[in-house]
Amino acid sequence: MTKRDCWFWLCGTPDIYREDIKRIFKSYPDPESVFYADKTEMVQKKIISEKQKRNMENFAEDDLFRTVRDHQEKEGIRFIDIDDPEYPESLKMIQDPPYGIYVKGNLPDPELPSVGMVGARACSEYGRTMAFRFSKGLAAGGVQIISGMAAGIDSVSAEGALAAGGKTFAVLGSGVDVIYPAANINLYYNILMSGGGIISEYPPGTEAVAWQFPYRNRIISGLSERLLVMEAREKSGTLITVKYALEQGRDVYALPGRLTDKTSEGCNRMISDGAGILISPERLLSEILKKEIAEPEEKRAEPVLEAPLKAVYRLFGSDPLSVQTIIEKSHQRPELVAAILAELELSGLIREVSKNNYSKVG
Amino acid sequence: MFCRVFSAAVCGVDPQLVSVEVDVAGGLPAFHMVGLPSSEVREAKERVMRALENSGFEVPSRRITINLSPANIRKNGAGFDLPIAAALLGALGYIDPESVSETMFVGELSLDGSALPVNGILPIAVFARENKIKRLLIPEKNGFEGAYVSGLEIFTVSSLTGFVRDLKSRSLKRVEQADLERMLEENYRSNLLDFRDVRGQESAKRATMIAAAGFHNLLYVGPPGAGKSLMAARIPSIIRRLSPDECLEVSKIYSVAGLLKDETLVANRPFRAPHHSISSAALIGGSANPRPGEVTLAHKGVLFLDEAAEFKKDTIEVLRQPLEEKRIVINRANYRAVFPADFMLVMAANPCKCGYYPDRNLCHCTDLEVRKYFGKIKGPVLDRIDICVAVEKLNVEDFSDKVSEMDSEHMRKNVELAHRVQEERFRKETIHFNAQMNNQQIETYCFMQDSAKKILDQAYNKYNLSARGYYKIIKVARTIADLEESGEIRKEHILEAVGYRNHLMD
Repeated sequence: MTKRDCWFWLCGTPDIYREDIKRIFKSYPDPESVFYADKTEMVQKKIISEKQKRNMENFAEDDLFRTVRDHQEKEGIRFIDIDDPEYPESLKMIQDPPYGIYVKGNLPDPELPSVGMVGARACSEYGRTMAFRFSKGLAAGGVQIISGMAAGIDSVSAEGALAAGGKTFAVLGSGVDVIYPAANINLYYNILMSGGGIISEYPPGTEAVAWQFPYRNRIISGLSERLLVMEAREKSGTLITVKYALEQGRDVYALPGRLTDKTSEGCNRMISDGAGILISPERLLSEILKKEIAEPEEKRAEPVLEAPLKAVYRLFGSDPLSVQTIIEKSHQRPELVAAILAELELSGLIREVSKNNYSKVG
Repeated sequence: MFCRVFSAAVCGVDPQLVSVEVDVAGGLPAFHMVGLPSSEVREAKERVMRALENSGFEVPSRRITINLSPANIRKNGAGFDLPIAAALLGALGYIDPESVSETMFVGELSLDGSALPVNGILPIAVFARENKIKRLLIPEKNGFEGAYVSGLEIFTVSSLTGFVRDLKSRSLKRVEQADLERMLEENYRSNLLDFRDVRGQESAKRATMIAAAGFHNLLYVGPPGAGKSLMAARIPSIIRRLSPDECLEVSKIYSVAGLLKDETLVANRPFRAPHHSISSAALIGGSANPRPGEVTLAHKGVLFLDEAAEFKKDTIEVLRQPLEEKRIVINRANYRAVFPADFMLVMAANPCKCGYYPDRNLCHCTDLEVRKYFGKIKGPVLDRIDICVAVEKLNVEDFSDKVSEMDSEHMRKNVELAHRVQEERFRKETIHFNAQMNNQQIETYCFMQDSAKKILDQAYNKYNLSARGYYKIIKVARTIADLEESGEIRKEHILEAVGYRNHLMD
C-alpha cells in the first residue's frame, strides 16, 4: 500500500467528507495509519460512525478502491492528493484545502495567471454581456478563467474564454463526471476539448447537492489570483466566494452597475467596501501582465444600416427593449417595427432574450 | 289499445329517432318499460302516472307496456315523459291515436301535469324537419328554440290538460316563426367587448388581428396583469358575425348543454376560458352521458387557455384531436358521440415561473428555469401555435389620453378583407383559411418574391427551424400579405412573420 493508495481510499470512501478526515487526522498522523488502524477502536473513540466504518472496510476489501480507480482512470479522471507534486500550490495555501481533488482534463498552469469569475445564476443581459466581454478579453491575453459552470454568469464566463480560444476550468459541486446543470453538456465537453479542465473535490458520481456549491467556491478562489464578481444581489451566494477570496488574500474586483438594478446591489456595495472596480478587460489585463495594454479607441464601429433600421438600432442600450417600447420610442407602425427587429436579429445585431424582448449583441 | 308517437334521443349533438309505443292490454296489472331506458327514463313511469292522475286522467289497473324503439340505443334524459304520456293518453282513449301518429313529442312532466323544459330542443327540431316529421310538440319554455326552425309545425305544451283540450279543439299553440337574421342583427355586439379598451399593446393587437385573419392559433407571453385575458376576450369581436347557419350550429350545442340564455340563440361567437384546474373530460366532453366539453362550447369561436403552462399535461394533450380534425369523437362503453370542435386556440403564459422575466429586479429565475417553464406545454399543442407574441405590462402613460386607432371595428374590417381574399383563394379547396394549408397547398398558393425567399432561408439557418416551423412562417406571412391584398409575399411580410414565430419550439 502506497501513501497514494491510502489517500485515494480515504478520500474516495463514501460518506467520508473533508470534515471527517480533518477529525480523523487529530488522532492519526497520516492516511496510512488510518488505513491500518483498528476501525472498531475508531468507532469506540467516536472518531467515525458505524456506517463510516462499514464503508471504509468495504472500500478496502479485495482492493475495491483499486478497481474503482482503474475505472476512473479509463474515464480520464485523475485523483491528485494533497501530497502529490502536481497538487496546485495556491490551493494548499487556503484555510481548508481539499485533501484530494479529482481532475478530468488539465489543471490550471501555475506559471500562467488565472482569474476566477463568479456571479448570479439569474443574471441580467448586462451581466451576461459584460461577463462574456471580460472573460473573452482576459483569455485572449493568456489569462486562465476559472468558474463554477453554474447557470448564468459562470457559464457565460466559460463561453467567453472559449470564444477567445483561451483555457477555462470549471470547479464543480458534484463529481467531475456529473454534468450539472444538465443543459451545460456542450459547454462541459467544449471546456475539455479546448485543453481546460473539470475539477472537483467530490468523488466521481457524487450528485449535485445544494450545500456543496457554496463550499466548492473556496476552490474557485483558491485556484485564482484574482476574483471577479460580475453580478450579485444583496444577499447572494456569490458573496460567500468573496468571503473565501478575502480570507485567502486574493484581490477581488466587482462590476459596477446602476443603483436601481437589484442584480448590481451586491457588486456596488463591494466597490464601496473597497473592492477593485472593473472598467475594461484591457485595464485589468495591464494590471495582471504588468504592461500597458491600450483600450481600443472606438469601442465598436456602428454597423452600416439603412435609415429605418439604424433609427431602431440606436435605441438599444444595455437593457433589453420590448417591441412596445420600440414602437413608442420610434413612432413607427407595429408591422414595420416587427419587420425591422426581425431583420436586425437575422443580421446578428440584436438577440431575442424573451418573446419580443430584444437586447443588443456585444 | 295501442298508440305510437315519436320522440328523439340526443347523443352528442345528433338526435336519433325513437318511437314510443304504448300498449294497454288485459291480464294481470303491470307496468313494463322496455327499450334500453336509462335511469332517468325509467323514472318517467312514476312522473307520468302521477301527472296523468293529477290532471284528471285515470289510468286503469291493466297491463301497460311501453316500448322505446330502436331498442339498441340508449335513451337518456327526462324528455321522454311527454311522449310516453301522450302515447298512453292515446292508448287509453283519452285522445285519438290517429291525431298524434305523425307527431314528435319532447318534454319533461311535473307531477301536477305541467310540461317542463328540457335540453336539446333545437337539434331535435332541426332533426325533425330533416326527417319529415310533420309536427313537433315541445314544452312552452322551450318555445323560442323552435321559433328559428321552419318547415314543420311546432307547438308548445304547457300542461297535459291543456294539451288534450287544445288537441281536441284543434287549437294547439303554434310557435311563431322568428327571423334568424334579424335576431342576429339585434343581438350582435350587445355584450361584445371592444379592443378600443386596450390601450397601447399595438404589437400584440396587430398579432391578434393577423391570427384572427388567418385562423392561426395564438400564444400570448407576458407578465401577470399585462392584459393577456383582456385581449383574448376581445377576439370574437374582430371575427365576422356568425352566419345564420353557424348560429344554428352553435346554438344546437348550447341547447344540448342547457346553456341557452335569455330565451334566445347564441348570437356572438363563443369565448370559452376554462380554468387550468379543468379535467380532460370537462375539456373535451364526455363523462357517463355524452356532454359537450369546452372545446365544443368554443365551436366557431375562441378557446382561451390562460396560464397554459399550469394545465396538467394530459389535459392539454387531449386538444390534439380537435385541433387536427375540428371535431372530437368520444368513445365510451355505452355510447359513441361526435361533437364539432372547430375553434381558434388562444393560449397565454407567463414568461417564467415568477412571471417577470426578463425584468431582473423582480425575476430570480435562471435561464434554465425559464426554458424549463414551457416544458409542460411544449410538444404537440405548442407545435400547433403559429403566432407567438409578447403582451407587455403597461406604463402609466399608456392609460392616459392615448386613444388607439386599433379598435375592434377597424380590426374586423381588416380581418374580413383577409377572409374574402382567402375565400377566393381556396374556393376549389376544402379549407377556408391560411392556417389550414398543407405543405402542398403552401407550395401552390404562396408566391414569394426572391428577396423574401432569401430572408426566409436566412432565418431557417439561423434559428435552426424545423420543417414545420419553416412552413408556419410562410403561412403567417401569407396572412400578413392578405391583409394588404398583396398577391405576392414580400420581404417585410416574411420578416414580420419571423418575429411572431414560436421561439419556444426553436
